[in-house]
Amino acid sequence: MSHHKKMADMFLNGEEDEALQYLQTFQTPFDRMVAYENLLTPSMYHVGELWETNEISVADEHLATAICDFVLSQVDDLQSSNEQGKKVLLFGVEEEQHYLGLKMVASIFREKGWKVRYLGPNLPLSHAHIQVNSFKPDVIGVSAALSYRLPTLKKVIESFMNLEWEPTILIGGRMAKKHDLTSFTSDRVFVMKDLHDLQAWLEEDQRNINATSS
Amino acid sequence: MRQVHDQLPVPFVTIDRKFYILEYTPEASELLNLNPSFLESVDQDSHDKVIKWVNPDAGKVNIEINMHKESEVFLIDLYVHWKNDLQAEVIMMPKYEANNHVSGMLEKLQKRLNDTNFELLEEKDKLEAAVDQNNRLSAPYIRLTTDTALIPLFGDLDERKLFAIKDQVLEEAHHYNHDRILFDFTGVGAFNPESLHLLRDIFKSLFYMGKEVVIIGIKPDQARKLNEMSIQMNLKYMHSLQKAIEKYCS
Ligand code: B12
Repeated sequence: MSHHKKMADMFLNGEEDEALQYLQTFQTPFDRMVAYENLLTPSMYHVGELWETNEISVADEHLATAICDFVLSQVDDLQSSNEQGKKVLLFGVEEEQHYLGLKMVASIFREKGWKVRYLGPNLPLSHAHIQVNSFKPDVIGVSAALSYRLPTLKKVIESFMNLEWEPTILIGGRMAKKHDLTSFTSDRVFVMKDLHDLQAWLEEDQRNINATSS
Repeated sequence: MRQVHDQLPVPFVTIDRKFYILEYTPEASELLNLNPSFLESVDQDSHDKVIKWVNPDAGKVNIEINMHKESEVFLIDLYVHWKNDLQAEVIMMPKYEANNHVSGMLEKLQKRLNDTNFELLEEKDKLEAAVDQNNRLSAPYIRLTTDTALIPLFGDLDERKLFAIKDQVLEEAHHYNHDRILFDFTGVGAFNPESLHLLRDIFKSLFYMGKEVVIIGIKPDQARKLNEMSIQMNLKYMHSLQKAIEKYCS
């Protein structure tokens, strides 16, 4: 049985300690991004497949989500670098409950020394704006999974275009994988289908900082 | 497609093998925006599931699927029974009462945790700002004469503190254009090896700006550490602030 299927089983059986242990021995040396992208994410997608084949119900998905969240939070706590870096604010659009991907993104940013404001899913746009204006992030990351949230997503992005300090906008989540969102992109708006995309962007960003500061 | 009233008072349809709706109850049309095709009301990502399970070969089944009314999507328990090879009776029971209650509670709890976390973060930010402010104050720039300035350092020197004072020291040295900067270490406790490179950066920058750096009141173990930093710079050392002032300010 492949790694992610084993992991999905542990999620569905509510075996949080076993899952955590399995994740930690899954690779040496441990790499957060790889753990999230190559193990936790496929495990949750597999949970989705089991639902499609009528083997589990959404109630089971709730349990799996809780266990995955637990494991993810433990990994996130392992080490946090001293935050001297830039600022990122993350949230999921209104009426969107899927947040695991967003939480992974928060963790990756944290690992890279960014100051992270993770506001969770289902955030009304007016709340988002209050937070954005007080925190003044360099980057705003938005996540959406449900295809029905396309209009909301569009509204959210547009409303961030006239912030005077011109933050970069990153769009991710299942929507970014399944739908063609290229019409959203610009020199300030990037669509990312996974954590590899995010990593590449972060590295590019770091190169630019190094180039201007040396 | 016609409405029927002689069925159970639940969202109910009869469909054919191609998912066309033959009959429906008023409850069904209340729940969904009924189209001739049943599949139109099924969420795109539940189509495969419906196609796989709703056919005469699969027989009597109970599956969970997502359906939608416009842009509102909800979870449904679907009960399917084939009357014959051509027609199926389908009951749709929304799950929100049972599920939404629990998931709503979960969501609320998560929000609260997150908000608490967030408030803690804000407090942490405030504290950090206070620490930074404090750090900057622990390296005041004092103008002694037109040529000479004094920077007395206070407390333990760690990376964070040096980081906070670096910019202001360089800025003020530039702004006031003093030729000579006296760093008084008398009030300094410990400094850790990691912070040394920052100290070196500050001294180096001052050199490039053409300043003379005089280090005062250093303790023996501190001197050793400064020495280890092997700066190829010509740092001047003086024993006490009093001597330095006598020499440079008279
Ligand atoms: C677990 C799950 C749930 C959990 C949610 C858990 C949670 N709080 O996150 C629960 C049970 C609560 C749930 C609820 C619902 N769900 Co659901 N759910 C899933 C499932 C099985 C897995 C999702 C998941 O956790 N993925 C793992 C994460 C890590 O992956 P990800 O989000 O794609 O993130 C990756 C990238 O996209 C990226 N990323 C994500 N965000 C961002 C942001 C930025 C800035 C960047 C750079 C990158 C990035 O990072 C991650 C790593 O690469 C999917 C099936 C699937 N294949 O996706 C269905 C699925 C998404 N759900 C679906 C539906 C319909 C619902 C419900 C409406 C009904 C229901 N089933 O109860 C409700 C939605 C309520 C609401 N208003 O949002 C449908 C969506 C269909 C559609 N048309 O869009 C799916 C596809 C299932 C299906 N086949 O029908 N769901």
